[in-house]
Amino acid sequence: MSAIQPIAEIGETPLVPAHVDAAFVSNEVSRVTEKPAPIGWWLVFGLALTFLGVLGVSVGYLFWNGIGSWGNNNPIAWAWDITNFVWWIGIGHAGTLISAVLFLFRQKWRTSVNRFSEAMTIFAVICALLYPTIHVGRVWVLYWALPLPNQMSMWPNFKSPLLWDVFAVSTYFTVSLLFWYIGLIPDLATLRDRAKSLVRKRSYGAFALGWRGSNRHWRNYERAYLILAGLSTPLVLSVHSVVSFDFATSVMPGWHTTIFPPYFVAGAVFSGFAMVSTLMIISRQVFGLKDLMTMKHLEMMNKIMLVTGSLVGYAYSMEFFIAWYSGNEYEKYVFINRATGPYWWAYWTMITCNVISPQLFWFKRLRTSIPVMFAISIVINIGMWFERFVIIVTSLHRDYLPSSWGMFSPTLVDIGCFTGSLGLFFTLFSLFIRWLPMIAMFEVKGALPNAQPSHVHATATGEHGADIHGTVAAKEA
Amino acid sequence: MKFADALKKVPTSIHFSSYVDETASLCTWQVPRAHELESWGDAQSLTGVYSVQQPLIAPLWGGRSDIEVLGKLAGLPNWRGYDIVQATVDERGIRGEIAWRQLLNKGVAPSTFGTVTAGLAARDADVANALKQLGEPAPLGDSFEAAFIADPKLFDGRFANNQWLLEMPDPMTRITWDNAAMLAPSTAKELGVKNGDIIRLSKGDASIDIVAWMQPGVAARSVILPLGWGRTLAGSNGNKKGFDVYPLRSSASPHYLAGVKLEKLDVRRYPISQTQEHDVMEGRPIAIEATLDEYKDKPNFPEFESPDPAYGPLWKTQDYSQGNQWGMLIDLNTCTGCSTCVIACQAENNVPVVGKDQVARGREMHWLRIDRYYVGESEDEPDVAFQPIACQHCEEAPCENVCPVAATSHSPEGLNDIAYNRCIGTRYCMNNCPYKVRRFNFLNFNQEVPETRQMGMNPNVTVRFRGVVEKCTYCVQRIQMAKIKAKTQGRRELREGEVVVACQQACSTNSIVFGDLNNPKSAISRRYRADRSYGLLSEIGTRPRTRFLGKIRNPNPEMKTVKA
Repeated sequence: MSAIQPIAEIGETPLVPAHVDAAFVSNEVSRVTEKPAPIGWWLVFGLALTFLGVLGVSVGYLFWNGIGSWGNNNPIAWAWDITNFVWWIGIGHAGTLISAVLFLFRQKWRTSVNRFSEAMTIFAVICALLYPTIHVGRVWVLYWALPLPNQMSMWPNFKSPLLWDVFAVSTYFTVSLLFWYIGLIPDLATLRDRAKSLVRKRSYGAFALGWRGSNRHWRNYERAYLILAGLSTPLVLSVHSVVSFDFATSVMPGWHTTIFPPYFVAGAVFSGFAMVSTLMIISRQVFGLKDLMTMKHLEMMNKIMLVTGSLVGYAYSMEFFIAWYSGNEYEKYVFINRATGPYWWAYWTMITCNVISPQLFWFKRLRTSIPVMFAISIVINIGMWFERFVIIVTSLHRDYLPSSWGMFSPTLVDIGCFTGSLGLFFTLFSLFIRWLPMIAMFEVKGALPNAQPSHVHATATGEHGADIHGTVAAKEA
Repeated sequence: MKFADALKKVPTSIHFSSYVDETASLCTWQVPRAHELESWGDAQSLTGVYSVQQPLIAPLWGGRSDIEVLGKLAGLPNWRGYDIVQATVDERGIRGEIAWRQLLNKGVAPSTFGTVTAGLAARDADVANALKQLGEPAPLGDSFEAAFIADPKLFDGRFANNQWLLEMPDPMTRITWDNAAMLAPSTAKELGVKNGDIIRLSKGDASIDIVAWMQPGVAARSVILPLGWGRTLAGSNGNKKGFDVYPLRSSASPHYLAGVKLEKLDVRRYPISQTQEHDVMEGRPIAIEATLDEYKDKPNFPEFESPDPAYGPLWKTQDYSQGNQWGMLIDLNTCTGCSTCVIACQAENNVPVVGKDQVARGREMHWLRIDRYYVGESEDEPDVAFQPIACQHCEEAPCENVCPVAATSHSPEGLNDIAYNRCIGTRYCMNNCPYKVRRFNFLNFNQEVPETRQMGMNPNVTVRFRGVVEKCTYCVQRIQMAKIKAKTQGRRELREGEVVVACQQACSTNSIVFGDLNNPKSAISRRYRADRSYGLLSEIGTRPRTRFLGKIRNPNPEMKTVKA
């Protein structure tokens, strides 16, 4: 229980201000979905919808004319498509990390941000899934990559890392979606109970699956949530590891590297937290939720970014060291070329954004300044996009035979597909914060300073906090 | 010479040609000429061998052959090509249906008809005299010397409408779809001219504007001008491609023109499409070569630079000891970089032409390419190494493992096959190919193929749709045809030389050897593991089936540019 009880001796303070109580939480979070949307929401939604349109047009053009609408070529057969894919998948990592890993580690500060970041994960994975889908030459036979029984008696090639990707990403998406939905059920019931109109009552009611907040419901809920948290935790590590296998198992210098799985996972968590941070800062501003998403939360996030940013920086330098230490001339050339070749600007953008900028978070003043952290979160996202661009494009553009070396230049359709995916993401996200409780109300209630359980019946459910929720639910009832 | 102006003054002019070209547009009449493959004809060699030429197809566009037009002009009653040839055959005493059919079948007559001894004496004295008349060249001073060369692809311009040739990279500059004025890099630097700048070359009234290109090996203050480009009525493919350099050339000085003024024009840089943009090997063991002395000292020199990996793969390797095992051996010693094999491959395998813009984007489709590297220390006078590269048919092919749908996989005969119909186009195989030989149909390059061009396609090879990957198949269709033929003849085994792949067939120097590695008597198995033999990038562990024979140079020690 020490996680809820701040230890004053080491300078810990409560996660939320003292005036926040259970009713306040319900009101603050629910009102966002009940009152007309503020102008800020309409602005974001309108802009997002516009870019979603751009995505539609770009993808339509791409399907009609072929992959040649992009700038991809030989030797750079993958470019922005897979860069965007890995970038989005990386962003989609924070959600599960916050929900599952921090849940298992009893990090109560996650309660304000977990719903939010889980939603972000799902939308980011949707955006990520877009790219492997549209980047194939013959999209109409994409289903051949799935192990479906068919009249050709053909299985997919289980040796291919792309197939592992299919499994890893689809598993991740399914589990994340379930996890998110299960976690939503008690809050959906709250919205249902507060609903004034029949439509709201019926629609939230349908998705609340008849939740009544009974002790048995809570017991089942806690079980399910814990099992899903357990299932998701290895996925946090596996998804990006598998994505990194696309590169690590190849024979290409600059790709064929054993450091990739941990390096990719660290980078993914890094970019995911940056994106959560960006979104949190915007939403707490637009919806005035500063009491629930406090500076303390943001500071925690920034600390994680500092750690993962440093891990990524270590990986960058270790790549260089190994390239030299291996004595492999092709490997050496790739890394020298990254830093000094025609794409030097991409490499140094990456280093500046990913390694140098998070180091500012060592200073408490900067770590707790909203404008600074907002700027850095954006910068990190740019940097992480460049990291994938550097890995993919600069490795491919100069490989073994100098005769086949080439350069990549994006087309309008490339730009449309990328900005369009941001449109898709923000459209989904805007709809989410408008219609669903963006903060896990019941979980925050469990982490309130006055949520100290007055009775303990944890013996039946073990150590995973069921008692807290039980208490809150009892209070509400 | 102002031929065009002179021609306009002729009241009746008749142009007899297969093409409506620049000359035709100035004539009053155009007579359509049948192609050689549409015409009857005959010929007799100097040694008296008589041969008959039989058309493959009736004239597609109603053309008339040369002899038919001559026959008409001469007022022959039986002016048809067939009749004229029949008459000549009759004169040769070949009579009757059977004899005629035998003649057509064999192509040559059984007996000879008297040798012709034309005066073919060497004219050494004339040559010496002509050389003397040239005298000492006048000093160039500030001016430049233009040298006109027959274009390696279009010759004098007669092939200017041929897409294959237009897209074929120039053997030396690697430029496609254009010609360029080639300058020595040192001269270009001196003038402040960069690749793609437009320069004006003028002498007297004549002047041309042409794109400049730095070409190592060109003499200082010399401008090389390939002929045959910039035509206006070559046809839909060849019109306005490249730059016409004929205005500078006169019959008085058809090969060289001294005293040419060169100025750089202040206009937008002209885009040039190359298939190879990096010219040196960066010290990598790619086109491996040695001097004769080095070879004598270490006959297996390539092995030291491109060794097979010390350890094999972790998994059980396929057994290649049975059946036909196809392999290719390319001798870098004899390859001249002429690129005939590139076109042969293109014709055989229905490889599409993609156009200048797509080549600039790096999307040329050639299954076989010739890599050209400059070697040696000097930038101005380098040596050149050519290396034909197609799919290496790796026994441990990196492309095969990564395909999610198993569209590319190995045949028991050691071919790296692709099932186009299975390919979904992830392009992962292209990324993982160390030789970058796999080609992707980025767009539908076969969208509008006119009927006549469809007739020119190889019916044994699939035309690929957009979105699939393709590459060299070792002419698998020819292998299959040979097997079918052997089977119909009741043979189990293929004979040596029965399978000839397109590039091998076209190579004028026999640099490409193809055959069955399991046949100890085959030409390839005798040389496959010769001392000069090596597998390209074999240290990655790909075990390529195509191997190369390292190049040996025997430099004249008195020439300064050779590699020490």
